Amino acid sequence: MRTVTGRKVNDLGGLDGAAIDRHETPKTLFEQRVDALVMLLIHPEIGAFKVDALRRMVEQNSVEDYATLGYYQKWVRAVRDLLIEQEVLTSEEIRGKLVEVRARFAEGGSER
Amino acid sequence: MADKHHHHDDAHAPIEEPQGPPGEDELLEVALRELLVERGVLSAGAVDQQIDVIESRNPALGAQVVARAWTDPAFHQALLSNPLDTLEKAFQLPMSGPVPVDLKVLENTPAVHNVVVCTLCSCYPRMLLGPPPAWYRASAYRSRVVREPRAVLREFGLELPDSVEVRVSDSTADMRYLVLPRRPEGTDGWSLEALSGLVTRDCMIGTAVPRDPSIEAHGLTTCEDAGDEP
Repeated sequence: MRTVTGRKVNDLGGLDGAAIDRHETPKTLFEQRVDALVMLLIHPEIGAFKVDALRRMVEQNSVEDYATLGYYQKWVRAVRDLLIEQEVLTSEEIRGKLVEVRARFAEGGSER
Repeated sequence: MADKHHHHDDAHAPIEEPQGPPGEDELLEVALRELLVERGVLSAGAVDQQIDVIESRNPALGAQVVARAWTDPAFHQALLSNPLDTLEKAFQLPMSGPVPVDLKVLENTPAVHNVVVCTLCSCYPRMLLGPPPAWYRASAYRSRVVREPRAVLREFGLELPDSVEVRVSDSTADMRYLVLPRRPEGTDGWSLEALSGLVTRDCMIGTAVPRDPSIEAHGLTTCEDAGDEP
């Protein structure tokens, strides 16, 4: 995905930018889990995909998604797409599991 | 969902993820994790264990490295010439993560101040500092610091004299950088622990310098981190 300037969406060096927002909060459990999931999957012991592939997927976001999705939202979606691409999981399996997980959460009280 | 997410180019929007009921991406993480365990790709509990491993690396480790380099000339020399091996030996910690990544130590001098960024994503010396802070991953820092580093540093409260050259190093997947800040005056004879207490995470990214104990904080030569990663 290239913009009119020929840059990829992630290639930000030298562009205009806003003031630095130094506000920080502790990582949410979701963020910690996605981070850990990626570290495990790129480890040669599992080797589901390489870190470069993760970056390739993240870089394929649209300009809009790249700017608006959270960092770990982009990561978890990239993990999904890579697991499908690398034939670790199928999109049908994931879709089915999502139905199950969503139902469980809707009932409430379920462990995340 | 897109309307729920903050735009990073809005200076006032918090960078962190939205809170609240599980969103689609949170459900997706649960689904992927459970499927991977069911398929035997991951062991049950592997993710939680990995979170502990990730949390065990934090800026306190980097600060120990800096303090040691300030006080031990042989270590200092070895750290600059062969960082990863030197760190593995000195701290008995594996420095190579899941994939081989090289590390370079950038030493600040009276003439040169180093700053680190990853303009393309968020490459960072995780082996020494843990995961990067939100601002390091966000677009404002990544876009601006290579073009107007002095203005960016000023926003962090660090005003450098014109005589000091500012060098910005852009990290890659294969090469990470740690800034070795200058030891403040007036710290002769300090213990390693006391010295490492002067070294914040931002000092090792280059967006701050260690607090000078001889100068009362007046906001120019000192700089405190906005907050610490847990």
